[in-house]
Amino acid sequence: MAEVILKDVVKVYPNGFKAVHGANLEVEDKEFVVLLGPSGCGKTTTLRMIAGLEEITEGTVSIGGRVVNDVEPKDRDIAMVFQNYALYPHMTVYENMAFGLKLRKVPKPEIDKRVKEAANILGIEGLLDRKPKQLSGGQRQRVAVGRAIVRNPKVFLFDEPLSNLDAKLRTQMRAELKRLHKNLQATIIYVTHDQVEAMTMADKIVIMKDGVIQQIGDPYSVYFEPVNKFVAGFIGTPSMNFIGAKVSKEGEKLWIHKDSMKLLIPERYYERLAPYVGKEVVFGVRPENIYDKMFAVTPSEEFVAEGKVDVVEPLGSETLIHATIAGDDIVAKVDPKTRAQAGDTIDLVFDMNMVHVFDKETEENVLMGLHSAEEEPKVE
Amino acid sequence: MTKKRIWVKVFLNIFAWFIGLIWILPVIGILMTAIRPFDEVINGWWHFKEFTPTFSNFINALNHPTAPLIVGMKNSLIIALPATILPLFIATLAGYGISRYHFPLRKGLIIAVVLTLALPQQMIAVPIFQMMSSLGLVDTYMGLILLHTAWGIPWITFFMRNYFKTMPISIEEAARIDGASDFQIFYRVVLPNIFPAIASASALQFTWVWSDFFLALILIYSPDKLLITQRVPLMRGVYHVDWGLLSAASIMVMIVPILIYLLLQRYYVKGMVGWTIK
Repeated sequence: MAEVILKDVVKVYPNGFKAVHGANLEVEDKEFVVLLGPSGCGKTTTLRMIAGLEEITEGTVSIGGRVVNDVEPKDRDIAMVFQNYALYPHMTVYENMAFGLKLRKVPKPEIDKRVKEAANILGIEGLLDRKPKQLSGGQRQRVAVGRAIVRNPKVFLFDEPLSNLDAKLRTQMRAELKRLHKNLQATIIYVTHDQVEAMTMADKIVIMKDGVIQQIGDPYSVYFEPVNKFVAGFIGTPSMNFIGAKVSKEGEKLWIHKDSMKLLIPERYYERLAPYVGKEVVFGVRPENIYDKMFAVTPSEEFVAEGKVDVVEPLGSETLIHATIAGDDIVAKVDPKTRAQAGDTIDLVFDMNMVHVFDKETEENVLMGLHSAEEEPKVE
Repeated sequence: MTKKRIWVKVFLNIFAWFIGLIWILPVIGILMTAIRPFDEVINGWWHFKEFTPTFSNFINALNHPTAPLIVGMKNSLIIALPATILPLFIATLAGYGISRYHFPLRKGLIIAVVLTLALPQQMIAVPIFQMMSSLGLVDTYMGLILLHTAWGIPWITFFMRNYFKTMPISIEEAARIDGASDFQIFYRVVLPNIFPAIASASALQFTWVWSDFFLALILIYSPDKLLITQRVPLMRGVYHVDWGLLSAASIMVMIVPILIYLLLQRYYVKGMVGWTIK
């Protein structure tokens, strides 16, 4: 069993900078957990504390049921893959992979067997005699992963391992790492600032900002149920649109209202939004939940807002429309057959069952728990 | 290319060649004087009416009756080799420690190292002599080797520290996770990758020690112990200066560091990163 548990972990650097504020996290055995956040959010520091490369100021880190705060990195039964690969330049690929085993006095035939096995898994058998300098970025990445695999550790730590690769290779390596995780049945903690990597690979995503864990959840829940505006904006590309608007009440009905934009709020949100009537809120909607009215099924005028098209970006499978609605810039991901052109006005339909409302002060998600992932996104 | 730019280029080329010529001229002069008999160069080496190349000056210098250069060469090697290896060994470890570990007064130590670099040798002449005298190390090679080692450690420490600063630390961290101890990291991962820095620091320190005249003058005076640099001035007679002999001796003093540079040239330039301050 190799679960990793962080309890109230704090990191304060000698210069007084507090990089991590009381992180609590449970990584289950064989789980693929991604620490996600913008640069400087403390995710790498957290990983390095788990690795033992960074001292833990407060709190405890335990691996497989044992508190490892004062355990040397080499005795934590972990392996780490670094962003810049960190291969030993003077050693061949074989020696790079064998180094850790040699230091642990593993018998030679066993080393040979394990290195060849790992090389086989990663498809680098032909490169074993080469030096890192003679390898491409993708090959170096594989060697770095291989060096971790041969050790057969309880926990794998990855520190932005794909960020030095080009886009195409990154997509390919993403799938390979996921497959590897399945085959190795290992616990993986993976740091990245790329939310696509997080969404595609993780069993569980941990979103951090300024040293504080914002939300822990599977990819669907962080996508459909972001706890606050930060998470909502960080997950998803293009990112969620935010419009500063008011909740207004007319008769029995509640509306999201700003200048010319007036959208009907579904009844099931009324209870949560009651305290916000007449107040400013942040209205959030993902680009994929905005449709070109021409292609929407049974569009109702109560969900339509008029926008002015600034830029049209055809992507083939869909088209992004950058438009201005009531003074706010928004992006809509619409049907590629749209006829909208820059300068046009366009009627945009909002899928009000998928929208979010955030408290203007606390930025917390007011509608938390009302969008389950199973729900079919539909246009009314 | 416009006409103007061509002219600028031509001018710059001529200028560069001119500077080069000024620089190389004394070297050519000394070479020409060294490889010709005395009566051919008595009026200046630039007269080429007669030209009889000969090695006799070199042979005479090596076997000079009062100051044989061959013995000086041997003595200088006895000094220069340990006075290169010893400080390099100590200062490489020190530079690594300063660049990788945090400890109290680390900054003060770096400042002290830099300050000692600014110290002129003349300032330490008297105290060093007194100290060596009380240690009984005057006129011994051990004394001079220790002195050169001490003098070399600060700059090599600084040089190596700067070099280590340019190396990605994640390689060492990877080794730590792989299970290497601090010393294993240093010897098995760091050391094999700093050959350029070691090569250039060695070349510089060796040249420095080999060409040193001043410190040797303070400490070494027995005729049979004199170093190569100390022997050249002794070859000048009282009534007669044999320029050919002196030139040949000078060339032989210079040739050793030049050979070292040629040998280490491949690494030398790479290692110069050590002089960048970060």
